[in-house]
Amino acid sequence: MDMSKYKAMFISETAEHLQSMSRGLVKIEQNPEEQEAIAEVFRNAHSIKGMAASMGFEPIRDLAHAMEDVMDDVREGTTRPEAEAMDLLFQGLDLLEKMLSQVENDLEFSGEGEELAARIRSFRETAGEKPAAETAPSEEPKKTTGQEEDKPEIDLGDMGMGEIEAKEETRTSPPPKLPELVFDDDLDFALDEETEEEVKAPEPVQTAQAAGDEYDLEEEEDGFDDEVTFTLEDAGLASPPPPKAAAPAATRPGPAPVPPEPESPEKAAGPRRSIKVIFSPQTASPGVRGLILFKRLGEVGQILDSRPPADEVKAGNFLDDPKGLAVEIDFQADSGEAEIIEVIKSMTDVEAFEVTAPEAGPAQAAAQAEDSAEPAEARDKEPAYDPFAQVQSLPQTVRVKTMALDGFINALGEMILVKSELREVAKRHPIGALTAGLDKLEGLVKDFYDQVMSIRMMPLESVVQRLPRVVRDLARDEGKKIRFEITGVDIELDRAILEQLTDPLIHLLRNCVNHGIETPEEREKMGKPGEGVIVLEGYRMRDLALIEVRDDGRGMDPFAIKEAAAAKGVVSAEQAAKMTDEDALQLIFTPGFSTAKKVGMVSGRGVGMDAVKNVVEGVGGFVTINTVPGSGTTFTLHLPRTIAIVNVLLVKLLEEVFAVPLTKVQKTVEILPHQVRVNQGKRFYLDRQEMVPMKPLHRFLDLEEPKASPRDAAQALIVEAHNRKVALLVDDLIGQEEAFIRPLGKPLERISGLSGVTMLGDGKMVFVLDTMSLL
Amino acid sequence: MPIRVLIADDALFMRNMIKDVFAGDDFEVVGEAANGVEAVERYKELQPDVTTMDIVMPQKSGIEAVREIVKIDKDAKIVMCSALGQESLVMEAIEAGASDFIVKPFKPEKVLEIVRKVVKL
Repeated sequence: MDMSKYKAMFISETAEHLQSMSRGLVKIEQNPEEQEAIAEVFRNAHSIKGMAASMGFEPIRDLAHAMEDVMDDVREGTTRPEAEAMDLLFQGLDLLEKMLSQVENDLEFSGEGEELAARIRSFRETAGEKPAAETAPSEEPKKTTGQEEDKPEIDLGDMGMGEIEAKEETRTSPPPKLPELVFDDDLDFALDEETEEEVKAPEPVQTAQAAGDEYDLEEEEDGFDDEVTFTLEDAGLASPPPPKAAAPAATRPGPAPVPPEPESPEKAAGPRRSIKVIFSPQTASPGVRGLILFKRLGEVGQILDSRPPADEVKAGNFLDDPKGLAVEIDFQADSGEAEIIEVIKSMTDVEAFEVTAPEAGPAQAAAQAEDSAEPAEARDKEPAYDPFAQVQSLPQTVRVKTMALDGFINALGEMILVKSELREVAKRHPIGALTAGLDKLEGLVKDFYDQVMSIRMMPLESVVQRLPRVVRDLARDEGKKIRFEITGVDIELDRAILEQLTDPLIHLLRNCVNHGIETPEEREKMGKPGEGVIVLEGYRMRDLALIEVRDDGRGMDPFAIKEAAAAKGVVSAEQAAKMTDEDALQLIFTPGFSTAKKVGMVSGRGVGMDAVKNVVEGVGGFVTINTVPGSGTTFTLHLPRTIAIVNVLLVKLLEEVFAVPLTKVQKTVEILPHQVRVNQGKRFYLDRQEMVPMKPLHRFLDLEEPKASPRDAAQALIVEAHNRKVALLVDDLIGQEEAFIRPLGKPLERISGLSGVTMLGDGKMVFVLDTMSLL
Repeated sequence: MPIRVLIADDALFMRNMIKDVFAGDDFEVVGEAANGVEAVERYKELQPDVTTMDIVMPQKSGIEAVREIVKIDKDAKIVMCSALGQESLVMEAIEAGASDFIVKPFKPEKVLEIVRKVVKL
């Protein structure tokens, strides 16, 4: 088999495992009892070993194998994840990363892999309780041990493997009493034993087929299971993706095709129906949606069977359907169709559904289930265990070149422009068919936009994986004790934005470690716990993705910063004196300030910070700082979630039209004379209880200001800049538009306050204003 | 009659945001709770039509609160406010008796849709 085409896949998947391993090891180092992380790192090593073996990268395989063995000992409790063991594991991780890059660049392995693997093995021998023979990397025994090794994993119920058992259960057990039986995690294990028996019991019926299955899958186990499992894992939705276990588990569903006999007819009454529900592919937590559907249906009748089985649905795995995430349910209830439809309609994110009326009476239906219909279904189900079918059923895993994604967005931008142009034409020549066609086109473009955007979106998680390691290393270098927490990494941003975030985040974290968090001694003197905490948190607000990096360290003193800035000549003493605390904090982002050193509390606070600001503003965002001297600092990156296509508000100033990104506008208001207050000659808009200063936008663009005529109503945008609200007066609000924003290019890009240019439908070019830097 | 809503969330920020979602005439936010204990108390006191319940809250988790509320009122309509990645907790809450869930960051129209549907259950 030509392996070269798998190389890219191997690289990216191994990289994912290494990232996960890195996170896991850091966790274990912090808490050696962290069972989940232990299981995870074990699985990472195990998976890498399997992939490397099938790629023929022996040095990687052997090193991963050695690490896996250590993790196995840790899991078994025969080795403590401490000093030497952890050092070796971290070394292994680093070396695996290095070897992976050697693979990527078609370089020869340097032999370090074998050397480290040997060291790890001898560590195990000296430390170990295990006989050396088991770890010897000789080829022959490996095959057999390889399989034996896999077996214990099936029993790793407490490490997430229980899910696999659960899947069996739903296939083989009598009609589940949903939801208790299938969904209760606690019950899963209690039921496992029963399940085993049930698996065996019907076997004779299907002997030939079951045996055939088993044979095939055993055969494939070695070569294929990793790939299949990874595909599953890659699909990402599956919360319990137990590598490896898939294959051993797959050897058992031989008897699965046995029809689920409705063994408790006392509960099953009324006609049988088959229900198909398709959830929107965008639905959040589809597994939970599925659970709710099962629960609500369970309240009006009985669920006899489902495809996929309930536990798979719960894990977020649905049938593929062009419309979305589908589940088919065999349902039996006294209630009429209307009631069932009512239940389905009570669900959210249902894209489509079907309730098929019973073709035969209940008795017949049951009989049908016993012989023809269900086994036919069951046979259809079988290919689910065929590795190829698995691959087919998971189109989410298709890898696309990022160039293609960028191509999409450009094409889309042009499409939107053309659409707007046509819209202008239609305004001038109103023809029914043209307008109708345009309406349709608009819908299509919108759909296309949403889809392109959604493929471009990636979770924040994809860029934060290395950070725990970074913090750990920095903290160790500085002799500080730091707990690093990451939350909210599911928020999604456009990949183009995410790609640029790694460095700024590292800069911010370095700042927190070096300058924010105090040494344990200092902290204890201040009555703080010796261990400092750094939190990276992502969340969404309106159209923005916010990323906070906060520490509970010494905070920053605006006064000290002002002094330092003045001393450095970044600002004059006079300017410094006038500055608000917030503006003073922003000084750390100025390049000149970066070099400011030895100013006590703020020492070096600016290093790299200008780069942070540049990157964030480059993608259309901004950074805010909140700090409390003595108790910590929070940096917040406010980022747009998508790029290039932005909703803008078109405003008119004199005869000129300008665009303001909608994300920057809190609201638009018409200010009536009685809502205006005058204080010291300045006008304020009374927004509920708040006095918002009114400023003509003209002033910031050097345009002639309109004469304030107190009797007229004024149009204004309420924007927030530097944490203050401002009512920007405009001559007219034209409306909202989707704009494809183009960069200004040199030398116009240097003009502050302009973030780009966009073309209106009539071909007119309009500047997009950046209110943040304008005000 | 507006739908009477109780909001339980330990973050003021979130409560305010949810409150804004219910700003329309069809709804009336009748109370707020900042932890699970308060949520149960306020529920008893106010008997809201629907409760939005954060999962991770101090003193008593949202899931515990759901269990207690359902004990008092088996027809209670509770919508969990979850973050992505909290799926297993949401499932636990649903099993404990919550009716539905919304995922932070939520879209206002989605919240309203779910709440309207849940009230009809």
